[in-house]
Amino acid sequence: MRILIVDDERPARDKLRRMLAQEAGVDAIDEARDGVEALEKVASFAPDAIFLDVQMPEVSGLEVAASLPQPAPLVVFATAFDEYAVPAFDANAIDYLLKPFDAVRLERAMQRLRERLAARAAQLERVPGSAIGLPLRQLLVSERSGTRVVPVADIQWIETADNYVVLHTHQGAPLLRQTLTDLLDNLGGDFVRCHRRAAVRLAVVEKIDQQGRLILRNGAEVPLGRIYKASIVEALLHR
Amino acid sequence: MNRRATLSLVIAWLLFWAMMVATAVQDFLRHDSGPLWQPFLWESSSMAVATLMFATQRLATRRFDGMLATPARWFARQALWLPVWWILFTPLAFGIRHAVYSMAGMTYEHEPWGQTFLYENVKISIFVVIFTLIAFGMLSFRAAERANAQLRTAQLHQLTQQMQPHFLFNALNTISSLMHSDVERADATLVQLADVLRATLDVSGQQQAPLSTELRLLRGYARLMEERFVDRVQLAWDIDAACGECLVPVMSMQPLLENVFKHTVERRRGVTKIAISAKRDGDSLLLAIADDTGRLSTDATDGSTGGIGVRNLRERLQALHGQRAALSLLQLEPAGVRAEMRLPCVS
Repeated sequence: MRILIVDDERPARDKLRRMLAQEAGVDAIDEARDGVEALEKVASFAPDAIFLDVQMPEVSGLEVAASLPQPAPLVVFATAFDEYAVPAFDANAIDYLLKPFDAVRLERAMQRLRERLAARAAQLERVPGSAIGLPLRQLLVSERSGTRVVPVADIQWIETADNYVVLHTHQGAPLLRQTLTDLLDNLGGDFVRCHRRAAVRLAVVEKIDQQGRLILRNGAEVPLGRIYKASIVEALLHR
Repeated sequence: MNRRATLSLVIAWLLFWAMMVATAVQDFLRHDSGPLWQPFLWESSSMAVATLMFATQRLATRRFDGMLATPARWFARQALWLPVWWILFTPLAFGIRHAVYSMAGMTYEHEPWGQTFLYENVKISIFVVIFTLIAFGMLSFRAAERANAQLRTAQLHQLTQQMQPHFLFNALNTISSLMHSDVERADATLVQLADVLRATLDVSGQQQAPLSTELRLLRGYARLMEERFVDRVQLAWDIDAACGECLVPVMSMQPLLENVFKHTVERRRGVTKIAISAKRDGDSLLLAIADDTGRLSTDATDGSTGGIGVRNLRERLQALHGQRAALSLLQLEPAGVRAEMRLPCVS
């Protein structure tokens, strides 16, 4: 098992590394000091599991978890406990560790990781579901030039493209390696599906014109599927 | 002032008036003859005018209550009112007496005006000084009560900061980690955490402590945080040894350093350098905590706003030293925030 430790405090990383080194089945351990580095390490180190701190500078652990490319590594939150932890644990994580934790508690998390990884290898289950309606301010997108931070508020609409989703913003259209369904689960109710392969931020919809096209405030045209039209109109009425 | 204090003051004032009337009546019975309302009128007219003038003086000088920390200046402000008493008291009090006498169809007889003014003004000056002293005592007591309340608020605020899971459990986790790599350091960090918590739970109510004591606590907190953010923070201390005996408000520097960690170190991925300095500047002590990367939120420079910690510290400085102490937050260019505290140095 390859494990990535993400924590902004070195003593916390040291402790987890030492404890993990004594666990059976751990082949390689790497560390990241913050969310941006974490995403880079996910790409380069390809971990099976991440131990993720929640309160970190600039990009929170929750935002890292929501930005993980598919197939995503399994997430165990390790945190001093903050207000967002409970929903995150409920929805997004294999397990969580409250700092400081002992070897017994870590062993339980490791056991769950081993079971999930075995099940995944046997393709018995889908990757664990995502958190719903977490307070995400930004997503991290890995690009060739580095990691790009995309404020969620900038996203106008989203469409799928092969194994990616395209995040349409004013500043371009970065690609995130996720499924539209998972991403929509994470982003909560601001976005509504308008096509089999597209979703739109409700607040920026200008109109549905006479040809039945969905037009945004910035003039962009977004695909509108026939079966989604009624629900979009309904949502616009209640906006 | 609370209701009980106001009520006591009013009752004491009325009893004082009763005493004056009783004395005058006895004196009248012994030396004069005629209707008894006369001594009653004399004392009551004086008392009514004195009440009125005291109320006016209080209303006009209450905006200088901030000067209570510097008694000489406060008393100087009150002394400006003495000439007002000298000019107004006798004409007003005696005017009432003349008016009442004439309504009763009598004439009020007294010494010639020159002698009357001299005699009355000597009496009223002593009277004013006595009651100004009493007012000073009561206001000072109220200010001390308020300072105590502010100190308790500061402690409570500090306690909430330290009981936050993010601080407490990460500190404990640091110790838990150090225990396996360096027992001595783990032990030292544990003691530092204990010191930080103990200082917050201090119940002595002491408002001020020598700078050396405050710095010892600050260093404990700083070392604890340095362990947690070992690769992200660098602290530099520049303490003038001659300042060690100067008195500073307890827990005045720690909230400022806490702010640097909370708003800058914990939110930034890079390294933050923090400089802590204490030096003497004439009669004042200059304490500063500066970082090289922080951004001041736009409203924090305004004296009325800022975080609870900063606001509370400002109030405590005001209560302890009035205008002689100041706390300012400055945005440095190109980046960084400098918190600067100026205190009168009483060594």
